[in-house]
Amino acid sequence: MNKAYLKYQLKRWLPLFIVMALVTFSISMLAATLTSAYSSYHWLILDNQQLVRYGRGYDASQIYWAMFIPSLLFALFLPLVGDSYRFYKSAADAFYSAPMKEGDIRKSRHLLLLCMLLIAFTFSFWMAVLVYGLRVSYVTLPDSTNPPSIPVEGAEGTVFFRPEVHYWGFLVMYAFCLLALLFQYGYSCFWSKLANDTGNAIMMIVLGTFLLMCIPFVFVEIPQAHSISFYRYLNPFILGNLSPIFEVFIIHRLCSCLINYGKFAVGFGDSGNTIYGCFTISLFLVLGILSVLDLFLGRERKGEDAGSITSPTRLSKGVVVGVFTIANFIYPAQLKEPGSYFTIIVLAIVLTAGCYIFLAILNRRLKLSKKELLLPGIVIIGSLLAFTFNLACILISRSNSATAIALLL
Amino acid sequence: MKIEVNSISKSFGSTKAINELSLSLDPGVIGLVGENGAGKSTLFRLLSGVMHPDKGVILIDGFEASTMQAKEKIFYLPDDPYAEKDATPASIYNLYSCFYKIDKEGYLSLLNELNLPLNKKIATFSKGMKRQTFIALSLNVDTEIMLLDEAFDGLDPLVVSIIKEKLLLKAEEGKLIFIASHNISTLDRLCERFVLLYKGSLAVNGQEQDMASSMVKYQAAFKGEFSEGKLHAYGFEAISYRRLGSIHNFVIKEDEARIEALRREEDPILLEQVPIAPDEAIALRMALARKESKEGE
Repeated sequence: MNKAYLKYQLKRWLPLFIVMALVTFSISMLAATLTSAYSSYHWLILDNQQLVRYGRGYDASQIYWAMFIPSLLFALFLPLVGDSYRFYKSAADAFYSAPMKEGDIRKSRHLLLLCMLLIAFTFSFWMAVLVYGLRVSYVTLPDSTNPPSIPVEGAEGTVFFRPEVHYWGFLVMYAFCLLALLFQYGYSCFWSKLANDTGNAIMMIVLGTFLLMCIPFVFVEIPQAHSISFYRYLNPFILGNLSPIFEVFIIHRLCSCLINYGKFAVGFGDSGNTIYGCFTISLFLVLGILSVLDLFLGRERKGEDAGSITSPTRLSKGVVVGVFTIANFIYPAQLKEPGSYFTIIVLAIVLTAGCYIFLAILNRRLKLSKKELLLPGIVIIGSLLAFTFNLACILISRSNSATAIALLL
Repeated sequence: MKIEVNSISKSFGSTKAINELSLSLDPGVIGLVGENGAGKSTLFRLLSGVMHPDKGVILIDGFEASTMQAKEKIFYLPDDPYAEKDATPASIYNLYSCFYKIDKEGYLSLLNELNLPLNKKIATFSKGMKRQTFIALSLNVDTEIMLLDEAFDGLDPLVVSIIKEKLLLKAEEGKLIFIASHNISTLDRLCERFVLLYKGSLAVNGQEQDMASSMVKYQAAFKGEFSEGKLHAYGFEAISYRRLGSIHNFVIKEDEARIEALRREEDPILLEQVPIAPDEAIALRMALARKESKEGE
């Protein structure tokens, strides 16, 4: 790698680093000072014995969200900054003609941004942990006059114990957060690499992340499903897990799992979610490793498309198709009432319009050719078919077979 | 130092930007001319390794253009050079010196000579000032080959003459300077050879005098009515025809016998051959290439 360029770029990106560090630090500190020490952080502050005795749910902690999500959002969109040298023709001319090994410029820029992101996160994370630890130990205990304790009803009567912050738990969480940030950065780089300009890169990252969030939902069945619709195996799963950020759940579950001494089911609640947990974690790890490998060992995109508003690649069109096909599965699943015709029409129109808009952005023109219009056409027909089929299943389940058959016909 | 281009082709979708182009270039100042869309910038992007040809090979001193060894020998100044939004002449030196060996003293002194402020944002510069800054930089980059795309675009005549002088000095040092321009007059008294591209193909690769070879320019006045159609009647394909009052100026392919026939039949008051100016020769060669291409179609 070109050390002189690394040094130059580091100086250029110093303000960005400071902003990043300040944003993550402020949010973490806010969470560390405002979060209730007891209600939200059982799984990190209680040891196993106490967990058994205390026996309450171990929900996600507010402090964890606040410490991780700002950095995750940076990881999601920071690759746009790293890839910006490809998004303008003039920049591509300068960097692709510069005497460097193929891919060196990309690696240098992304390595630098990744280090900045991880350093900013590390700093804010441990500062927040420190503040939180101090609070738990000295400030916000339930009763500062009496020995700090929580009364718990148990088999041996009421038990009192003093919660302690287990810093190794934070260390595990920190390690997983680092991995998650690295992998998220890798994913975003992968999607951003498909684009030739900033607008398309943002779109690819958003669609790619959405696709990643949706993939597990399509393949995994939930035995405890209770919906009456055709999607009864899929519906609660989708509704229950359409999280804004896929990795947040994964990290949280991994942490829960480890901190609860390998009691996987405790963290996931039920066997269905355990299957889902295993699947998503495996998928997350495999895709994460692959995308990071692609970032640092993969082939560089050629300079000729850089900054040019050329026809979108097959892959980027494929992503749009994938996202809207999945949406075709997901949205009809929301339909539970036979009388929701208006909803059907509105959702079908929204899906079609969404598909059209994404293709228009990708092509950088509002008027699509007849060939390009085929995809929104498939989406609207697919949506209507999916909705109708779902509605027919609902009617069949309610013994209204005649209407159902009429609908299907 | 040599650039060898062997039957390269480059297409963008259905558009052929470069078509079976072969070239061999030695040190000196060489002009790359051609009308808009002829493929000049594409050729430069291929030579500098920004793009890769679909077919054929480009060798820079024996190394393939996309290799690091080849790129070390080339500095490419595109028509729209890259500078960060808040870049100053000082900061572009810092950026480009990461990749190239640049004579800082020479750069600063040339900036001074061109009256360019060192620490003012380039974004506030006029088009010409921005151009001057980058030319000053490229003149001080220590590479054996310079590819300058539309180098003189937007520059005033004084600056053009200063830069021409510097470029000639560089050429004397044994560098290969390849300058693309659609404004032929700016290349006057600078290039010792010209490469003329037409629709991605090589139309001419030669010296200035080669551009006008086989073409003759006449100035004529006739007693009766005369028009371009009459030239056709004598079997001439006018490369250029202009009429100013009773004076007719036309450029045709050299054909002594037909000129004699014209002289005999029309009995002109004036029919004399006039020299073709160098920049005019290139323009005429471009017109000829266009005409031949149309005939070919």
